Amino acid sequence: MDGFLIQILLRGVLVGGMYALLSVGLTLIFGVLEIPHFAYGDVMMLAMYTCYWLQVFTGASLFLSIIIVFPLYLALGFILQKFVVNKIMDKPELSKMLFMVGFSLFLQGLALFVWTADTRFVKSELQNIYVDIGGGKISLTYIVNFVMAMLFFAGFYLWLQKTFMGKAIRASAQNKDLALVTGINIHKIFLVSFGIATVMSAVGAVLFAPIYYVGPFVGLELTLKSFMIVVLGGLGSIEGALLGGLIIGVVEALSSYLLSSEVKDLSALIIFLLVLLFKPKGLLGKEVRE
Amino acid sequence: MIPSKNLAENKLLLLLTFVILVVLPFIAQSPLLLHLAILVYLYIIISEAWNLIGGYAGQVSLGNAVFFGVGAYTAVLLYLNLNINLWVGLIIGIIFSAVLSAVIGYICFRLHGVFFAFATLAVAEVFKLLFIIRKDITQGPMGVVLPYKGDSILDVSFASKTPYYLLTLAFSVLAILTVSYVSKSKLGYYLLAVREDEVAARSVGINTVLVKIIAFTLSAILNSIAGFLYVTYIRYIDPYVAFGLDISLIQALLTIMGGAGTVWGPVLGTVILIPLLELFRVYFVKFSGINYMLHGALLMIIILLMPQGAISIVRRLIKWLKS
Repeated sequence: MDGFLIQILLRGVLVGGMYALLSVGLTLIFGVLEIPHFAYGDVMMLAMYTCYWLQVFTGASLFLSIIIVFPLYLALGFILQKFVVNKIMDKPELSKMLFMVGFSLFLQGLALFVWTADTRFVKSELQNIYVDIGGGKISLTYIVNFVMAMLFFAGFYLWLQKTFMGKAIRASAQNKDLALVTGINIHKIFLVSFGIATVMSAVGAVLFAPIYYVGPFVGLELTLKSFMIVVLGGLGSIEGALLGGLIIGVVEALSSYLLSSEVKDLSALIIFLLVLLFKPKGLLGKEVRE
Repeated sequence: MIPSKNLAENKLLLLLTFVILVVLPFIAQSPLLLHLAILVYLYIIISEAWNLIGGYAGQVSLGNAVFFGVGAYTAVLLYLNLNINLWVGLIIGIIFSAVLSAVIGYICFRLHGVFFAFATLAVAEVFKLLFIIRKDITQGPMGVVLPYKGDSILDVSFASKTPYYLLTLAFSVLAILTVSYVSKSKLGYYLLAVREDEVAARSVGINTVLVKIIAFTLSAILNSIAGFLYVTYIRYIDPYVAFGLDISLIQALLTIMGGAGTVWGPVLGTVILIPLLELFRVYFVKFSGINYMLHGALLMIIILLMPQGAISIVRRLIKWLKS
């Protein structure tokens, strides 16, 4: 393997780690609330714009942005669950999805109205610092943001595994009726799950923003990407989101190196379709879902 | 829902409406009015198309733009590159779309509900990217211009809007007749059975995959025709319009707004919504997001407040008037 290929693979892994944090919230929303959250990426788009505004108006660093975005999007998640998502909990699955499609369009319109269609960029203090690895250089942004994303991911994972709330959430994801019988307050579970999922995706979006762009329609790409990743890994599986994120990251990096950068998104989509067809439960999926 | 003794009366009423609509452009020469009418007819075609797969079969496709795009691009590219007549291109486009829909359907109908929806969306994205990447054939993201050739039926090129009006009217009637025929046929009942309970439908011997594929193919053919009409009218197409989510979504929005799984629901939805949206687009041209916000808010409100669509209100009104 030549050094250049190692660099490409490394870059894929670094981006993949950020993808994992981006998409892990969707698996929680799907698993616990059973909402096909089509506006998932659009909320991320709002987080990216929030970060952009913080930079433009206050000159806040990326890390300060995360400290501000965290409570803000936790609150936004709670509000969305209570006043938007809660209204459709008892509707059929496809109505839920179309409702969320409507919400996605609404947020796109809002972004178009407030920030216009111009493409914006979020800066990182580290983007011009390069690190030598093997056969090439890689921006420090990739490495530091990857590490941060992994820290958040690990924190989220531990929270789900160790705390009482986390256990209650996992219990509700497995069997809602049994969870209710044991005295779990399902409404509180819905609220907390949606809030935490929103905040994870928002932090993921802020970390991802410096290596991507921000625009009113970036949400659809992010929704599709997140959906691809969680389905690839296995819906409802946290470890699956990590695996899916890494696979998509590496596939994108490799195909843009071996073929052309235009083929990047295409190859990820084709991998997704193949997995959907031949292993609809995903790579680490446990339960059967129809 | 309409009582059968009034059937002849209703048919007469419909025929009369049709005659009035045919004569309309010769009386009212307003280009704005004709433009709006053409748009309404175009959107009736695709919303009836979505109605077949989403309304009757209950399979939410978010990738119908694939066939819209294929219909538009096939005719134009064959015409420009190989000098094949546009009408022949229309037929070839329809055949392409039908074959494609069978293949895509055969693969994607293994999935259900949300997964089917996302799979079709992914397929549409694949097509969009392919048409962007293969610049050598499709001229890439710049899109293709269909040159104006003076008044010529063979080149589907007219100075006046009237021929486009009549063309789109004719095909929208065809779309309505197709759905009306399907809704009364065995196929229509099979589709409803699949929508209500697919496992039960299979257990009584319905080949559910085949039935869904037939609905999907009909939907694809109508979309393909609409794509052709769109490109001959607007005389320009690019991959973002042709394969974008907008085209796939608007047909769902219009159908649900009017009433999914009914013959006249999509027509009602389109007639109410398209002029309204067009008006908004023109008046709020400076506030570009408003249109999207309106689309989204409407979709949310309809699903919350009247999941049966506007047609249920009209029906109640008719019932009330008659009693």
